[in-house]
Amino acid sequence: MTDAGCEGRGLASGVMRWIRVAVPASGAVLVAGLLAASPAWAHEVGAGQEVRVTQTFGSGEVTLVIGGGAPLRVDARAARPVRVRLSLRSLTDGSVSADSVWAGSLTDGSVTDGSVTDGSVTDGSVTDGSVTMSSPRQGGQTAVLSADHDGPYELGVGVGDEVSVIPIRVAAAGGAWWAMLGDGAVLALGLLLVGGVLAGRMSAALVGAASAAAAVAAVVMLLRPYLPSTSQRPVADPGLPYAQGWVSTLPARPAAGAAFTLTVRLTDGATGRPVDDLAVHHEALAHVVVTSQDGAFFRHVHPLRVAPGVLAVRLSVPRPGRYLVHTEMERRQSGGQLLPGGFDVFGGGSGESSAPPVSGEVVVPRLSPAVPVAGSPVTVDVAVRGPLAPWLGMPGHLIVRSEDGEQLAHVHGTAQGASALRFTFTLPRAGRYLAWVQCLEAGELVTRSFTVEVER
Amino acid sequence: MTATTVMRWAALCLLVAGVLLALTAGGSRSVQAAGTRYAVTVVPGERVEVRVTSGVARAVTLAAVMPGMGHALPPVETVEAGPGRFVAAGPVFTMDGVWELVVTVSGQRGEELITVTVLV
Repeated sequence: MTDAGCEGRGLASGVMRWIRVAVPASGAVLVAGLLAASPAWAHEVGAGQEVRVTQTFGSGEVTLVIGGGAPLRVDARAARPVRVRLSLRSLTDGSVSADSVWAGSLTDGSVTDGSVTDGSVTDGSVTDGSVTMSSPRQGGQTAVLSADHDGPYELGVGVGDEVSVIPIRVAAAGGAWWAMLGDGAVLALGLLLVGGVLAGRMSAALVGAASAAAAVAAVVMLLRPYLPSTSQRPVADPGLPYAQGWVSTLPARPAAGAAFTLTVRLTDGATGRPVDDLAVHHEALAHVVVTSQDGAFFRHVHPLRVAPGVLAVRLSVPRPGRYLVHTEMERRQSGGQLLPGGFDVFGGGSGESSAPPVSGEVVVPRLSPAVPVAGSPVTVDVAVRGPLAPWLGMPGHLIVRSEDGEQLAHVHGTAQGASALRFTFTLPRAGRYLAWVQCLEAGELVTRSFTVEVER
Repeated sequence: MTATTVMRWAALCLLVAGVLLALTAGGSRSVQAAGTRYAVTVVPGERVEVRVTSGVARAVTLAAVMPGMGHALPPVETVEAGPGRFVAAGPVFTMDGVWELVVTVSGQRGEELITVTVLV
């Protein structure tokens, strides 16, 4: 044997040793990298993904369950039967697909007390004990909207004469060729490594093939930002400027007892342009809390996106006076924000009520400690008539407003069995706080109210 | 396994990488976008070009915004370089990054703002 031959064999075994260590390690890194590169887009709807968006129409609240990728499948849920018209318009080529669906019960297929209730759909009719209706569509109540390609779409949602437009991105099941190549390379690498380990030795062909697969996967991963995107689009750096909200009503002087439209216009604090990058958080584009200054009136609504940066909801309030509007929203790649506002309601409306409005049943919760202290957490237990179904993804919501309206908090609670909800919250300063608890009982949204005094 | 085999596989990997690089080279890509009245294709480059692919446009204006940086640039007019082809009269993007480009199209179907996201 020549020296050169020995040297070559030594080099080969050294390379083998290196590969035995480096290839599995690089494979693990690659898998982690590919997993971490999953879409960061809040409205991305691909195969196996689901987005829930709740909106308050004049006739009531409708929750859309959007999923399936391409084609897009949309279910609608509502407390009362309502027909929902749906259209999906591509923002890439303008193609439109339309369908309509009857909204099923709010508790369809949702988790209640740890078990899954069956929203039994039989031959187009929905029966859940409280709602029975016939669907105009045969074979179920899921709207199917065709989406030929990946990319941005607008989902138009019509109920009665109101129309909302929800921006979403659809990710087709197949994905890009390079993504499949990368995934295939990782798969091949894994299979080769497992095969090598099981066989107890690494043949030259095995190591070579594993190296090639690792190289392909590494190249695809490194080039990912520069490759044609299918399921992801370029996303701006996190940390967007703050948004500002401008509240107005139509008519400008709404009358007590008469319907009016409340509009919140969102603008970017840095550019003044409409804010049209709202993330769906807690199953809505925005949560708007409307309360009368005295707290006697309370609504927690989810306005319709009627244009870029323009949210609108139809309301009616029973009494004149000052009303406060707190808009809770979140820009994509950014944190949540609370935008305060207000409007005045004038007397003289035909539907004006002389009776004091009731913002839900007044209850006495159990507080712990019994006398809350500013800056220290207080736990609130509120009795409910369960079992509860999640509303906006949570068993219970607590809205706490300082009496002057300068502060508002939205707290999520946990169910304590079927008969109580528990919330823990820190009240920041002494004073009187108005609080409302909301939960879904037997498919109906129930609101209860109470007040909390913080003396010091 | 010999050094030659290892080298051969390494060369193959380099070849694959080279092919992938060649396929993906070429800078910013064009972006298609459709409004309710017009559809456009935006071709980023030294001079941004907008091709109006649906509807007859008379004028196109471009306004670039970098959402992450929180700044907006003054709108840039375009010159019609051919039927449905509008080329920016000046630079549109001032730096690399993710931009939102508001394309204002005026023409037979009225005026429409179409916003596209462009990676420069």
